[in-house]
Amino acid sequence: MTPLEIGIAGGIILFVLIALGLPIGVSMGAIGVVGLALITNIDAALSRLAQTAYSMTANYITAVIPLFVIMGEFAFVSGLTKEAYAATYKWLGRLPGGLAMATIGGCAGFAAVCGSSEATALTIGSFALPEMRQHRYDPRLALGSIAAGGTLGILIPPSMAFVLYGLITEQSIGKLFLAGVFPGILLASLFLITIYILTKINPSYGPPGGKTSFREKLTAFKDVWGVLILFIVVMGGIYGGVLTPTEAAAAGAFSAFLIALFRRKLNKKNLVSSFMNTLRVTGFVFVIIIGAVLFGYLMAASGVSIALANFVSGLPVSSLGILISILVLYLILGCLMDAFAMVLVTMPILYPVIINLGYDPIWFGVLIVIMMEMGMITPPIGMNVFVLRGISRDIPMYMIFEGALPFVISMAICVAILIAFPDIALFLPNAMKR
Amino acid sequence: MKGQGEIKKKFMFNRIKKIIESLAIRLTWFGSVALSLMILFVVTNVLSRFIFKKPLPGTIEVIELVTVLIAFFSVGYTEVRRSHIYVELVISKLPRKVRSIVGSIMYLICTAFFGVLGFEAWRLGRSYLTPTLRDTYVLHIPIAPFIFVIAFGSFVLALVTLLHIFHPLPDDSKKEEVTA
Repeated sequence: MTPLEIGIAGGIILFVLIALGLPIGVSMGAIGVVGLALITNIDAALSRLAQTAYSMTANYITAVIPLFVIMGEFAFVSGLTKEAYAATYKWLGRLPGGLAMATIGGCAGFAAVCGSSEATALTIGSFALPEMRQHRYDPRLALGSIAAGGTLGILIPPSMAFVLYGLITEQSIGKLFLAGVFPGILLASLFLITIYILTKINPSYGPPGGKTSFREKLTAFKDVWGVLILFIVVMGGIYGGVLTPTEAAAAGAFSAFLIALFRRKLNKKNLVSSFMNTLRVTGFVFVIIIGAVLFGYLMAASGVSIALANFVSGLPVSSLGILISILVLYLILGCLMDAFAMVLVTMPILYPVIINLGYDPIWFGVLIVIMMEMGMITPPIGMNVFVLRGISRDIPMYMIFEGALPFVISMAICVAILIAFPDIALFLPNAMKR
Repeated sequence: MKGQGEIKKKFMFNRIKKIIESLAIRLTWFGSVALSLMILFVVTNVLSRFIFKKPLPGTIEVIELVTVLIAFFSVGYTEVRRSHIYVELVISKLPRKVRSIVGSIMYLICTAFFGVLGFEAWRLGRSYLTPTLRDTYVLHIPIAPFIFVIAFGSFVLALVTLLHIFHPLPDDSKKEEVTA
């Protein structure tokens, strides 16, 4: 077999093993090692396995992973989520669908201190859902807005999705974080517009809430200081060039810990659970990273990536046409597999194609993260929907997917806007201090 | 007699399972301490840089080595909680018996993968000890012990997956019970 044939066979077997339920990290890692052994020799492949495990963990950049996860855990313990939600509600509660809009605001606020989509959806959902049900919101709007709002967790920095994309493609995580800020605000705004339109068409979807005085509206801002402090520490530090992402993550984790302490929210039980959850997530993320890097070595050594890039570049289709085809592919894959797995499995193959077409890797990272967000709320595999199903057992899963559909359309519009105006994503990273 | 033998086997299996799982969970204590120390170390370095205009020496290498500890003291616990990510779409459609068989085969592959990783990390660690001791550039911390942690963490993970070969399907009622 030629190296190219080994690479292609490896790609096919990878999807078979993943479909059979082998953990994604092990699938990629095992195929990477076996493929490299066939192309080079078994000793070289096995020593690459241990070397990769060491180089990807003894790594200054990957250190951000446990740090950002624990920052989100401490932010959750501090109760920072509720304040962002309450503040948005005071401003938008009077409007039809106001509670759903407050949910989006709460998600956007929590996304600024947490890098996980599922955690954002679950955290906001735990108190926003009972409130929306009490106000007789249609369950589709209630759960759809929570599921979609939760996805902002991986677009608005800090974001685990950007960390993984940056690691696999060797792009600056700081720049990726900054690139997510304006698209995150844009997408949150599109979600608000979606809710407004839905409730305008059918007012029973989300009845308006009670009145709030102007004074109450103004004082609502004082409650979001915790979120603001964390966002300024992390993003201000990175944007100002005074902190590396790893330092910003540690400073953010420490600040979140102090906020929780200051608010007297820390006790032995939630401190232990914060650490245990962080380590649980850290464990699976590192196994996936090691596997993805090994698989990436196979794709590079076999020449599959370059062959595909050359083949695609030679097609009589415009680069925009190819980009849209790749995004459609992600939309389909997002329906079939975990969003993170989808990106880590395909990036070693498709990233060289994108670079060959001359697209900006940071901008493409933002598009990919939005595609991941879509994958999280589209059937049959939609992690946010699965998570929400756990807190709304009486509502059938199809209804949550149905409720999320209008927000998927908003995401598609967001992608189209970013393709037309790439500077929305690139303005901040380009302005970043060196 | 046969029934008693079965009970004895089950008792032994549960005992071994308990030992391995508690080992994986205990390792997270070290992981938690390592994570706490890393946060404190990085924050101290940032403050020292701003206040005294003098960063702590060797910060990057300390962070890198501590990350190894955090990652490989966690991987076993992640598997105890069955949290390593896999795709259920196809497999969930199969009958329970078939799922169980396929699941056992998949866990067998996992055990082999992490066993090999552990063995190779052990070999790599030894090569960092002899003929010359390899250490970090600034603080001269020996690297080998950290590679041995990779080996140890991988072996623990391999043992947890080995257990799961015999119980390939997660028992949801028990899944949430495993905590520190």
